[in-house]
Amino acid sequence: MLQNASMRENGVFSRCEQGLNDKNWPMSEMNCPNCGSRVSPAIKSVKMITCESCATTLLLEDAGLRLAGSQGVLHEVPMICQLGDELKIGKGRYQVLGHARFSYGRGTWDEFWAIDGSGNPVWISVDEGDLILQRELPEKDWPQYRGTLRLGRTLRYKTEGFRVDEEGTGTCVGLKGSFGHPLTVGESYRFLNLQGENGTVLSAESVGKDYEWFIGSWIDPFEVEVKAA
Amino acid sequence: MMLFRLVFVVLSGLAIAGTTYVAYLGHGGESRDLDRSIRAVSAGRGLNGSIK
Amino acid sequence: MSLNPDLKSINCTACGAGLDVLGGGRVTTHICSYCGTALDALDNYKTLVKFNILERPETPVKIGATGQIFGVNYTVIGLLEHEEVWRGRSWKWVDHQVFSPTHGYAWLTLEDGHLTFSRRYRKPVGWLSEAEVNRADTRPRVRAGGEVFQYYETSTSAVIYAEGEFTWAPRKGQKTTTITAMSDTAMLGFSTTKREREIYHTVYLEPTEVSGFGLDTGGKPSGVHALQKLKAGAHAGFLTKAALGCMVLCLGLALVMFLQNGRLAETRQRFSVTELPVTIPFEVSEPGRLTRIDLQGNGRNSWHFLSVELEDPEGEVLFESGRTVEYYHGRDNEGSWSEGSNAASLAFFPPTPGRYAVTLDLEESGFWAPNVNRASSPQRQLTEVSLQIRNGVSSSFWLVLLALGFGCVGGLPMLRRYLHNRARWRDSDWVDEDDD
Repeated sequence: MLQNASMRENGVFSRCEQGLNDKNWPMSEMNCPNCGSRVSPAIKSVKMITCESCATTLLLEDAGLRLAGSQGVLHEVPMICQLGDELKIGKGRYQVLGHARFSYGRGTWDEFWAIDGSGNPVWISVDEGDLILQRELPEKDWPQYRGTLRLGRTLRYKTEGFRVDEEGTGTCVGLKGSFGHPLTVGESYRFLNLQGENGTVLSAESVGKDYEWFIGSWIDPFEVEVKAA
Repeated sequence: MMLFRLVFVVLSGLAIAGTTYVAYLGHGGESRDLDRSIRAVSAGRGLNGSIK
Repeated sequence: MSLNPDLKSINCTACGAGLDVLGGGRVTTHICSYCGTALDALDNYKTLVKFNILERPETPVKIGATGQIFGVNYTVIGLLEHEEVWRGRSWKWVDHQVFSPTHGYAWLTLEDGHLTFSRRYRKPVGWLSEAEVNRADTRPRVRAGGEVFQYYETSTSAVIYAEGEFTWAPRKGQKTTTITAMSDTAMLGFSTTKREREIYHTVYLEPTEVSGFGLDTGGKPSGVHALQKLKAGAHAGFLTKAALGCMVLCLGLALVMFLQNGRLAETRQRFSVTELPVTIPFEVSEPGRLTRIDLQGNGRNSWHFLSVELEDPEGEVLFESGRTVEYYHGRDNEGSWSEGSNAASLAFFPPTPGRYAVTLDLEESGFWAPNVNRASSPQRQLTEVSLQIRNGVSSSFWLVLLALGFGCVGGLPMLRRYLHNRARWRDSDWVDEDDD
C-alpha cells in the first residue's frame, strides 16, 4: 500500500509492474485507451504523452492513461532539431522528448521539452534561429512586482534588471512526444518575455489568473550540436 | 608536412652540432691582423733574393 | 520556420507586382522591388512609405539568391545600402539581409571583395558608449564570451537604399551610430538608432566558409580586411618555436664556448719592464685548437705598444704583431671615471705541435693628461707586464651568428603576424591622447 502511495505521488502509473526508482529506467508499458497500441513514457516525470499510432494525447494519471485531446498538426518544416535528438549546448546534454508548436497568428514557434544530464526538465524555445533554454521556476522563486506587466515595464529579479520586451498570445497547434505537464491543442495563453541586462530571459505564461514562470538564456544556434535520434 | 619539420629539425641539429665543433676549436676567435712581416723575411736575404 | 507555409508570394498593394515571400514570421516590412513602396507585413501589406528604387546599388548578390554560410542554408531576402559621410568624404556599402529557417536572420556584407557575416549578439556584455570612448585615455575595451574586444571606430551612417524583407522598418536617412570593437576573431558593433540599442557580432568569411549567392565569379578581395585572420601557413607556429628554441640553444652553447678558456701553458707570467725584450717558450700539443696570448699592463693614464713576435717549432717567424695596453682615469663633476682595461690579447692557430717561442718587447709608450683636474689623473709608467698563454681556447663567434640566423627564421612569422595585425588595425580611428 505504502509503495503504491509513494508511486502515486511521483505520477507513476499505479498498475506499473516494475517499481523501479531510477528515473532513467523505462517504466513498464501501458496501452492507449483509444487504439490499444503500446505507450511507453521515457521517464517518470512525464505527465502527458502522445500516442504514436492514433492522433490523441494522453494524460498520465494515478488511475492510468486518460484521453486528453487531439495531437493537432505538425507540418514538416526545416528545424534545427527534432524529437528524439540529443542536443549538446555548452557543457549540457539535453534529450528531446516532446515537441509542441504554438501559433501567434502570423506564424508559429516551437517548444521542445527535454531532460538534462541530471534528469531535470527544461524547455527549449525555437523561433527562427532565436533559441532560449529555460527551466520552470517554482512559485516561491517567482519575480515580485506590483500591478500588471506590460510591454516596456521593468522589474528587478535577483539583482538583475529586466524589461518586458515581447508580449502576445500563443495557441497550441500541435503536440508530439512526452511532456512534463499537460498541454492542450487549441488552448491559448498570454505570454511575456522579459530581457535582463545580463542576458537572462524571464518568461511568463498565463491562462486567466494561472501563471507559470520560466528563467533561461539565449542560445546561439551555431553553438548547438545535434546528435540525431 | 611532417617531412618539412623533420628536415628542418635534422638540418638545424647538424648546423648546431657542426658550428659547436668549429666554435670549440676556436674558429672565429683568431686575430685578423697577424701578418707575416716582410722585415723578418727580408732580414739578411733581401727582396732580390730567392724567396723559395 | 515560423511563417504560415501557404504564404509564399504576395502582390504589392501599390503597384500589383508579384513578390516572393522569402523571409519568416519575424519580417515586419516588405519593400517592393519594382515600385519601392514599403508594405506593412503585419497589417495585410498596407503601404507605408515609398523608397527610391532607381538607385539600386551594384552587387553580385541578388535578392532570392541562396547559399551556405558555415554549412547552413541562407536566402537573401533584403538589400540595404548605407552611407557614411565624414569630413566631406563618403563611404557606401551594401548589406544583404539573409534568412535561414533554422538559424534565423543575419547580415552578409560585401566590402572591397571581402565578405563578413553579422548576427544579433545576445550574450551578456557591457555596453560601449560614445561617451565612454570620448572620455577614455587608453583604447577602451570590452569583455565578451571570454574574449577581449578593443575599440576600433565610431561611425554614423544612414540607410540610403532599401529593398526586400526586413524584421524592422528601414527609414531613409535615419541615422545610426555604431561603435565597433575588435578581438582577434570577431567584431562587436554597438548600434544606437534613436533610442533603440542593438549589439551585432561580425566575423570574416573565408572562401571555404561561404558558397553560393552568385559569388563564385566574384572579384578578388583587395588589401587586408580588419577582420581577416592571417593565413599563417601550416608551419608558422612550428617554425617560430623551433627556430627560437635553436636560437636559445645556440646562445647557451655560445656562452659555454665564451667561458671556455683552454689550458694555461706553463710559462713564467710576470715580467718587469726592465727585462724586455723577453722570449718565452711554450708547448703546443693540439695544433688544430686556438691559442691565445693575454697581455696585461699596469700603467696609469698611459698607453704602451707591446710588440709580439711568434716563432714556430722550426724557428720560422709565424707573425710579427703588437698590442696596445692602456688605462686612463680621473674625476670630473659627475664623479670618478675610467677608460681602458690595460689588457689586450691576440689569438692564432698553431700549425704544428711542438715548442713555440713568443718574444715580447715594449716598443712605444705615451702619456695622457686631462685639461683640468690633473691632480686626479696621476700618470704612471708601465712597470710590469703580465703574459698568459692559453691553449685550446674556444670562440663563441660562429654560434652567435648561427643564433642570429635562427632568430631571423623564427622572427619572420612573428614579423608577418605583427605587420598583418597592423594592417588590420590601420583604419581604426583611435588616437592615444599622448600622441601628437
